[in-house]
Amino acid sequence: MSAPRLLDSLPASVELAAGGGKTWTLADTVRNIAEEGGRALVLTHTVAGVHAMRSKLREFGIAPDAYHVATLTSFAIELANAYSVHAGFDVPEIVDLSRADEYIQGAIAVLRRQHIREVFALSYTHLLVDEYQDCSTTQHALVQALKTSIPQTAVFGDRLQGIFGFADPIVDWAVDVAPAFPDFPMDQVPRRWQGNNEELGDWLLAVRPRLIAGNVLDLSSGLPRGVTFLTKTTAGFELINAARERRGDGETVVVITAPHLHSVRAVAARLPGYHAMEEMGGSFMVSRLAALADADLSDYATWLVSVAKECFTGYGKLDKGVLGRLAKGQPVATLKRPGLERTLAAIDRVQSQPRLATLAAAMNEIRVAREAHLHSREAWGDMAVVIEACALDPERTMSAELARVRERVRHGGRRSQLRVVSRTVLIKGLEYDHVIIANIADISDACNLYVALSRARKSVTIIGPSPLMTIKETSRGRRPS
Amino acid sequence: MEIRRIDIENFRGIESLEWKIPAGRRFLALIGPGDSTKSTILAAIDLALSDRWNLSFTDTDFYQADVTRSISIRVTLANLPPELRQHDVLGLHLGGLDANGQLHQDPDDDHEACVTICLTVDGDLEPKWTVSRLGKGPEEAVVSSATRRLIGTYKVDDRIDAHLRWTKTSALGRLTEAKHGAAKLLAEANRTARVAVAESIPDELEQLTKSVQDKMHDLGSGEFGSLRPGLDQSLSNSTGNLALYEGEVPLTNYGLGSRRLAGIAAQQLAHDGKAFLLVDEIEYGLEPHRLVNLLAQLRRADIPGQVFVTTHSPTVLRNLSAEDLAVVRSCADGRIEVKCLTDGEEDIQKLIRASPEALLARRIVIGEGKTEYGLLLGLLDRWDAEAAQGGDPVSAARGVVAVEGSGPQTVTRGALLDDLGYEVTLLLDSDVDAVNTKADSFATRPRAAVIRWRDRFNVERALCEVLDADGLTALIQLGIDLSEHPDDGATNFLVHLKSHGLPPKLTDLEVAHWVDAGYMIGKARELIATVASKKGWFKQVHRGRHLAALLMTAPHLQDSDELVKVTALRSAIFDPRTTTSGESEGSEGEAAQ
Repeated sequence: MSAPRLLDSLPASVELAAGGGKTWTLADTVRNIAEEGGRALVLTHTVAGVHAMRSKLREFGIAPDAYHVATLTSFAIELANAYSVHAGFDVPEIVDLSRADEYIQGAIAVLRRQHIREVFALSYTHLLVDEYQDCSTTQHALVQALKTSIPQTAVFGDRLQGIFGFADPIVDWAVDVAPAFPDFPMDQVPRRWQGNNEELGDWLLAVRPRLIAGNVLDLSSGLPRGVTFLTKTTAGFELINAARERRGDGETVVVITAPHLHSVRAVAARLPGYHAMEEMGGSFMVSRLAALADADLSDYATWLVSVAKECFTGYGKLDKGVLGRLAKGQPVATLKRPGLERTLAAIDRVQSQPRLATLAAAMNEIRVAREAHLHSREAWGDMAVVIEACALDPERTMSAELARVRERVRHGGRRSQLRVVSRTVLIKGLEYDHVIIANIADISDACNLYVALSRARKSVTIIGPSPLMTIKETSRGRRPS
Repeated sequence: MEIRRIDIENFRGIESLEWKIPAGRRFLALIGPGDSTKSTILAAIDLALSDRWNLSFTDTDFYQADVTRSISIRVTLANLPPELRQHDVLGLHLGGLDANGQLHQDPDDDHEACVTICLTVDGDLEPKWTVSRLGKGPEEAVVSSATRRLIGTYKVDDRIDAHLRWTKTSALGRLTEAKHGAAKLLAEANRTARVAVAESIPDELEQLTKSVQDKMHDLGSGEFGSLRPGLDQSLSNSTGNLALYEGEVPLTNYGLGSRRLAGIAAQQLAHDGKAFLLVDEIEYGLEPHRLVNLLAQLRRADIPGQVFVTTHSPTVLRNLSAEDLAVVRSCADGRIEVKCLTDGEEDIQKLIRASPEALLARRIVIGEGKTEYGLLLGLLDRWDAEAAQGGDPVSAARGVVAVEGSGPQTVTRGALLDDLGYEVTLLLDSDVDAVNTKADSFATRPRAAVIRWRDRFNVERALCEVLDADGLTALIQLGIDLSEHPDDGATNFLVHLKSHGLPPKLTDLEVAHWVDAGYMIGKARELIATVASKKGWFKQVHRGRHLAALLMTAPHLQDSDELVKVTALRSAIFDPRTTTSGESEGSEGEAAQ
């Protein structure tokens, strides 16, 4: 109903609350464009977002030639690569995503040329951009450059979900977005909670306007069904108990930790049955594999032990005694470590035959032996795959191979896990039946808090030092002065 | 959409070719002598832009059958339609074309956006169509058959009959598909056709046929009153047995010209006139009046496509303007040169109207005026007869054409033709100093030859110089016989001679009598030449032609300067010149795929 009116009001921005069916609204807009004989260019931020968008458009039965979906970065790379003279540089064959900002600048330079602008004016009637709150100021400039070719532009987003994991400055909705794309109000329908917990959905919509820096949120009373506040204790048993609570069959649970890099693994180590989610770049794996690449063959076994201790819970017995023997080049299986026999045997095989192939085999053996709890399954598994590939082909480097493996994750998505420990920035756009916030004081800024609360379909367990909490400002990254 | 540049390497008779076509040329006639690879250029465009994917190549398609040097045909298109400039079609593969016809990797704002379609064939004989861009790898992007189909290229050739049937790839089939979606309609038509031929044709096809009929009338393809689809029993396969019929007669039984016109009509409708139309030997099978009408239709400014034709027909040339023409010439090193003529070269325009034959030749001999041109023709008659007797190629076989000059402008005209790459020989008088200077300067060009009589001599004077008294008498008699009133000729001629200084006492036209009466033979020569020239005794082509016999049998020709000139002329006409190629004859009319 609202889509045709949106198409009459372009350019415009549409703000939709979490769980409000933003993908659905976008797809519906594309459907309307297609019905009027138009063609839409749909840009979003993540590969996962592209896949989600495409599958929704397919589900809607929209003719594939009525739209083109891409990430902002891949679109920019395509443009800079096609017109490298205008861009001013050649995009390398293996794209370096850390230079995405440069690629986007290149694409903007390309779009300054009349003939290229015409290509997009001829190719598309409409431009739709998703997750606009995550746009860097450079990406915003790219969208504005495209808008000169495709004036019928709509951007979709939610400034309360504006959190990010990178250093680039992010658009300020009021300063950057609203003047270029006037607000187009849309009814907020809490779709995510329909048939799950409508009360929770209504509460989240009611809480939204109060999530302003300086406001005090009171969680001591007036909470809907499914929302619980627990006071944090030093021992932290309330978290372990909440995590262990029985849930329905197949129901998913996410424990949300502080937003910094190492918090996830530390919490996951304390929660049996939970798995740590790695960020796309996999910085933990990057640093451990870099250490391995630099290590002497005689240090392979030591590397294996130290990484195993980081990825598993229950390897306390891989202690100084074990490490001491390895340092002297002696076998460890003769040590008395009841319950860790297969692990020690695997370590000895690496010690006696220090090769990458043996190391990869030992990592697989340790995983299937289940002599400790593997909380960092994603990291352990991916590192084993990288080492195995490098063993087969000595030409490959650990870092390039890891990039390849992570690229597959970027495109294919992660293995679904019922119980996950993660951070807000990694689970944006995802939803879970139950959310446990490990310490609300760690995510007390408006955006992180809103993203954390709104991931839940059925229940939210909030742990914190006090039910009264002052909302803080969300950092917007570095802005050019 | 326009083809603005064609680059070819190692394709058939072409080792290399670079042809930049100025903007706005909607109709281009390729002309040039027989072995200049005009048809090969047309075939190359067709192959590069064709949407057929099953083209088969053979070793002989390679230059000198050398398969180690791959075939490359690059056709640069500008003024691209929106369909081709789409993001996911060729929108990210545009190049830039500057005002000098040079290509650039990325199109700047002051460039025209263009795309270069490149067909390559290696020794494995598999054709590959890609986008070629300066500074980018050869494998930048594959150009699919579907994309090439958007370009729309249509060649009128031996396969013309195929286009008069309804098949998937024929012009009629495409026209139907564009309008109604062919597959379903054709299946329906074919199915019902098997039941009852005449009554089975769907209305849509009837109406479509009607529009083809109208278009054929525009193009002058005869008068058709009841064109309709009919069952073609000459083919046994299951598809394509629906063909165009006029009454009970299938159009494939009509003359070649009509069939070619019908094919052009169908294709113009199928592509909405936007396509590239390639017609090898446009005059083929057409009477002059149908040809002239076809040219007028194809040159219509309101049709957005671009037309390339080859021709050997003076009729075609007479109906074109200079900027319709592109002169193709093969150089000794295997390079092919194509030069587009430009409008405004008034002299070229005059030359096209007056002597279109010249532009179709390799070697052109220009006689300064009617007398010289006539003499040239007379000499060629004699020399060709001798050559034929000796078993040598006659002048025509060597691509020689004699044309009439334009008096004092003859040298200028010769220079224009020389600039275009023709081998030009001028036969000139030497009685105007200004012309002599220009002629001598022209003669220094490497390809050019100038035959001019000794200073102050014109052709009449030169001829008189080698005649004896009886010969001079014969010359006067010839003048009388060829004059408009031969009966009064003797009286009139005597009056003319006397008014120019023949002594009054001489009363007849026997030069021997003049000599007997003491009038010097030298003075007689001077006098007769002057009067013949001033009174225009031989200033018509057929009259001049008669002088050849007198000249070649003249008693004093031996050891004369005139003989030196005539010998030089003969050599300029018949002997190969070192500056141009005389090889690779006979590749003309090569069959298309």
